[in-house]
Amino acid sequence: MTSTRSPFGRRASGVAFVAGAAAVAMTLSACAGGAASGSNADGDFSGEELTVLLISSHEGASEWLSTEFEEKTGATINPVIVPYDEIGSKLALDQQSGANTIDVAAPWYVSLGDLAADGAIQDLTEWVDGNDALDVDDFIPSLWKPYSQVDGKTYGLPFDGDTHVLFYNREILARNGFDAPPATWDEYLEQTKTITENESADGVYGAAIFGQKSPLILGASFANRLAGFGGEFVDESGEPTINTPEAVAAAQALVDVNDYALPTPAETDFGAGNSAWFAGKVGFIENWTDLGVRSQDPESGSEVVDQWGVTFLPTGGGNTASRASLVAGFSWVIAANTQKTELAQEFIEWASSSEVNAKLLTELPPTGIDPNRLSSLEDETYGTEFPEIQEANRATLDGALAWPTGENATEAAQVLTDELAKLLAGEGGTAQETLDRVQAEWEDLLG
Amino acid sequence: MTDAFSRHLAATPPNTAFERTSGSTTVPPRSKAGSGGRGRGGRSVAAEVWVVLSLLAALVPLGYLVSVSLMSQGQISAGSLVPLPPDWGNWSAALTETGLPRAVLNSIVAALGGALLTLAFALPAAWAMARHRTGGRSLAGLVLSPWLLPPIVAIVPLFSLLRVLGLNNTLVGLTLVYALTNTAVAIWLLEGFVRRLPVEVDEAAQLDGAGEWRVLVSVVTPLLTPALIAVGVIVAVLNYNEFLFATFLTQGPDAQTVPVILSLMLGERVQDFGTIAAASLVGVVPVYAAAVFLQHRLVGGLTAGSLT
Amino acid sequence: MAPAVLSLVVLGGYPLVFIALAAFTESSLGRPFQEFVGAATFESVLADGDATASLLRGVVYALLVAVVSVALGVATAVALWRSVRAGAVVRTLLLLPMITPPVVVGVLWKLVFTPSGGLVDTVLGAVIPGGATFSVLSHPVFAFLGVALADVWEWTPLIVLLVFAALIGQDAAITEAASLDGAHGFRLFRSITLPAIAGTVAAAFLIRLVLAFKVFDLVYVMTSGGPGQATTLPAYVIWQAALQQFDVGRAAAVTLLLAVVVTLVTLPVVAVTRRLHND
Repeated sequence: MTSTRSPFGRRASGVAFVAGAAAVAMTLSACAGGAASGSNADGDFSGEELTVLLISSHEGASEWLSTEFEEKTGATINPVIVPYDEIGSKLALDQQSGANTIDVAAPWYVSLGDLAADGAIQDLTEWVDGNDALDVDDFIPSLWKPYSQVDGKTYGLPFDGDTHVLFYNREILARNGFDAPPATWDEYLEQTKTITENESADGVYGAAIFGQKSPLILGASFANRLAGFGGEFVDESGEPTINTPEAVAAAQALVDVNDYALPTPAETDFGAGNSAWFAGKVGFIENWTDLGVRSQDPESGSEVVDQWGVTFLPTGGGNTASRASLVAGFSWVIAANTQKTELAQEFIEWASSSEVNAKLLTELPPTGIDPNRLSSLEDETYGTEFPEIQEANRATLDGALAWPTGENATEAAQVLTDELAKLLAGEGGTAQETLDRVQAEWEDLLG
Repeated sequence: MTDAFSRHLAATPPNTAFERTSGSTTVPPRSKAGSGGRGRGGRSVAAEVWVVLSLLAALVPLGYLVSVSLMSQGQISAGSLVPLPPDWGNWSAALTETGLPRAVLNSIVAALGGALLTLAFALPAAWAMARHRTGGRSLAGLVLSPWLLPPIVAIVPLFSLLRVLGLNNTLVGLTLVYALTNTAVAIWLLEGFVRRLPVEVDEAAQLDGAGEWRVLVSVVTPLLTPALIAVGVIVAVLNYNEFLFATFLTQGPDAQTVPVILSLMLGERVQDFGTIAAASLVGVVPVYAAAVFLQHRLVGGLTAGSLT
Repeated sequence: MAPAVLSLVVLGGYPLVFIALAAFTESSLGRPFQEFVGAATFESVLADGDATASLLRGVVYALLVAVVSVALGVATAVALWRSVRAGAVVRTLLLLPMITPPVVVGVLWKLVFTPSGGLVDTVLGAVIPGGATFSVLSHPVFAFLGVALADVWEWTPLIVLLVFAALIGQDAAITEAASLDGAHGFRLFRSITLPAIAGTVAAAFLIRLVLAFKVFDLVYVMTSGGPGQATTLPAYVIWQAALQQFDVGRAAAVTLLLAVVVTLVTLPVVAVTRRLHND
């Protein structure tokens, strides 16, 4: 869930981009040697084609990957781009019907369990366990398990780390007498409230909150707070813990800020929230780290160049250590019925490698991919070009909050999102009542 | 045969279906309306005012869309209503960077191809039902029943159907699905027209030795042309505008239609409302351009329709 | 001829059979028909307050939208018919909303309702200076009405078209005879014109009702079913179940329950339509 531009800008600069990428690719293959290759001894796949299913936000990354992979192996990548809320169902339908046009996909990690239960993706356990070149220990530990495992089996490899951080508009904060961004959700509420009370008549609000009724949008806003208050979706053994005091406090924090956020967030989706941020109309926005890159780009309509800062997500309650929340996050999977397993393995091994991740982190135009590996997170170029974002992303090193991933996990995420939407609309009773209902449903679904 | 046909046509009372159609499409409808409407001063003013109000209601939102399509992101969030100066960047972006022209072409092909196939499926069925009194109006209603429901779950079996035919992710496959899903509506609409054709027309033709299909092709079809055009237009517009099937049954620029491209733009992390507005307008140009033709044919065709 | 008709009925009926089978079996997107579960899926849907509320909401929505569309549509068709000035150009312009793709209609009204800089917000801001930003789609009741308004805007032209065609299709001889007999104005309209178009109006109402029951694209683009459950209409519930949660069995069950609801609501309308047609 991380691209920075609409596809238009990307296509426009396509020619220069391809030329540049080709040059990079030659350099890479010259010095990288066999580093990224698997057991297939740098296979030559010339003339073969691999169909890769991706969400529209990954279109930029897909263009980079296509060019580079063809350069490396001779195989052509045929990217299929779909809206973010269709990728899982499209893959399942493709495999179930026997059409089998998809070879590789990068779905939301939460759908891994359902896709596995539906027989839409391959069990990669044996291949991953027997392939040291994958270097799974280098994946950021807090990401590795949720992004790859279901019931002890491996179904995917992490692709896009995707955590949220808190962006703030320095000028708006300064105008309202705040010289530092909030460290806790209470401070965040206080600052948001002050800004909205002072400036809403001029159309400036304390915060934009993603409130649209989708697990990737409203679900993300809740997960950010749940992480801050130190809660969990499920415990170690996979039992739901969604009505703990931490979770209730997180939901309450969302309700509290509701009245002071950009017009009331019930309809705020990516576009509405981000547009308000770029126009300099909101003090805070929780967002993917790549928002910063576009914020610095007046060409794309940003009016907040050099006016913003970025920090860890706030904390709350008894918790004082900021924790990353894996709100979106996408994993590479191999379609169950593909005839091209070998090429597919070659591709996802390469696409989830440290080198590729590091390149995608700093590529221009930005691909918006977030770190998935320890080595790429600490990549030198990344640190030089985006020191603030790198620092914010280090939050994932101290453990992260992840959604459940087993069978019915997507339904569970939807149930939570629907109930939270009702809570925010004033239809769901208290936060405690809301989450008690979710807990009961989750015990059914995930138990 | 021609003789028999024209005899029956002449014998048909003046207010039956096709006579009325040909009459009212050659004579401007207003002359008839005028006989009831003119010369009633006070009421007529109310009518004119209401027409103006309806025009405003229909056009102001569309005008706003045009306005937004000419605004920069900054102008939009600043709450401008008129884009001064107009920013044509959105239009060039929509035309050159989104794959929209190809999608418009795909939409047109699927819409027209689907409509023609639908008519080819529906006319014999409607004719058989009306002529052989196979269940009459109840069967037509039964055939229509799937149309009463949201077709969402039907995506699953349709996906499998296309796989059997080897047409997954192709424009031909999508066209075929459109043809099938609208056949019921077309049968239901056409059945009323067919029933109004005097039975003697095709009985006479059959006496002249023409087979069932021959009668259908050379006698019934020409008589029903206005109705076929009207129904075809309705079905084509439904096809052109369809979103859910298109998004699941196509992948890639070779088969994606306008609503699919628009939904991809809406799914972007950063929505560019100006470009989305421009792309929306580019997408509707073909149907709007056809609207002049449509209006005339639709009114003409439906005047004779099953609903009157 | 009969085989052609039969094969069409089979092809058309095939998705319907799939839905019926899926509703009574454990069915996921990837693995339909896993095992027969009888009415268990129906029971769980009926026990789910949100699902039943969405069906009820669908009824309220469809009736509201159909009544408003038909009232406005008939008024506009009669005005067009009466108007001396309104010609083909006006009729064509009035048709435009109907031939606009629903996805575009959704985008359009979403822009109109956008809280900062949208048409409604800007106009209200100009009328009431200093007033707070007004966000139509963030308030449960207004969001419901907002989606309904977009729907009415889109499909009222269909009613105008059908009723207008009926008006010009009525027998001019009868109208003229009646007006020679001294029937004028409203009396002429009520005693001659209205009965002549009543069948069409009833049929148009029926079509409008069904279109409103099926609405999906507008909800998908404008509100995602929110805020809360305010605009979660049946088709959106079905979409969520089948294509977001992979639960095809549940989606099929909701579809069939909706079929029952639609039938119950439309039966009286169908009966009225039949009577008016036979008159």
